[in-house]
Amino acid sequence: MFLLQKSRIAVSSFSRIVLPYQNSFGFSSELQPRSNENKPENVEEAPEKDRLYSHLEIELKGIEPEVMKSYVWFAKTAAKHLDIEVGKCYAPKKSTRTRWSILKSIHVHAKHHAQYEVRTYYYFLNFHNLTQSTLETYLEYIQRNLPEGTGMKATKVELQAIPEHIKVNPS
Amino acid sequence: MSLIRALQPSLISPQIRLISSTCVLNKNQSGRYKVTPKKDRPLTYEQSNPPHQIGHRKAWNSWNVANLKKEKPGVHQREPQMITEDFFIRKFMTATFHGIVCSEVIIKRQFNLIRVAFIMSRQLPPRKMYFLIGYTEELLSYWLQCPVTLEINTVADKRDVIYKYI
Repeated sequence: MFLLQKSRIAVSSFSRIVLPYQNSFGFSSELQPRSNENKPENVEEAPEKDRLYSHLEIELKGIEPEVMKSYVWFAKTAAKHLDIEVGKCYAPKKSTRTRWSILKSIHVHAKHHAQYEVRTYYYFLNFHNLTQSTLETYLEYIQRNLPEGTGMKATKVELQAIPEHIKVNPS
Repeated sequence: MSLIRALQPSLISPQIRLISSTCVLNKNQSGRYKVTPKKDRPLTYEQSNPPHQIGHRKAWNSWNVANLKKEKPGVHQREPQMITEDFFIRKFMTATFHGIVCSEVIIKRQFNLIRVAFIMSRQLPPRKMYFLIGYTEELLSYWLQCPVTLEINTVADKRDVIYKYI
């Protein structure tokens, strides 16, 4: 059982490299175990450290706002139980609407049109300061329970150490 | 002659029928049922609400991700295939459970999984029902190349689903 700790990182020692990792909505995030194919067997593998993420933004798109509302309640409760820091969760007041007018009759009668509209409702969830294992578990759990007619886009912001060749020489 | 006729309406025989001609009215008539003189046409709740009530008093019959606003304009999320599959599933359900389906067939898609839901009356013996359910799930999953589950609710009598008579 991995420790789901709140990661406290001193800002001076790490650089913030924004690596947006976008999943296409409607599909679960790929949980690929890191395969060490090229490593020879006699070398001892150092325990891999969890990557650290400062920010996870989940963008939900849906047809039905009530369905999304209940899903958001579920997602927030799950985050609370996993001790994930929940940031700002909000929905724009109006949905995005695509409208078009079509002729009602197959021939002539251009004065008579029918209006159609397609609505997309949005909801944004923000979570802060996660470890890789927490994030992967949480996303997997959330995505497995994604209701029909709702799509999700997850954007992660990772924190990385400053690479060696950029570090300032102490002398 | 015609003036005299107009001034004395009682002289006009009551058996004359008059035709009024207007332009084509182009009324909305999809999904609407006409009132019968005997008021004996049964309607379910879904049928009694016309299509403009979708989103207000009705919900959709197919739930999928096809109509969401796309990130990139050209990327298709299998919309035409989904629509064709929906047509096929509906026809298949009505034909396999012939005369027993009491409601609209609702199709929900979550990732790879297709969930088909409808209300059925208990006319068939349970063994036959279970066989048909298994048969439907198996064949549909082979045809559509994804897992299919049936979520069926049963009702004792068809008359239980009727909302009003028109």
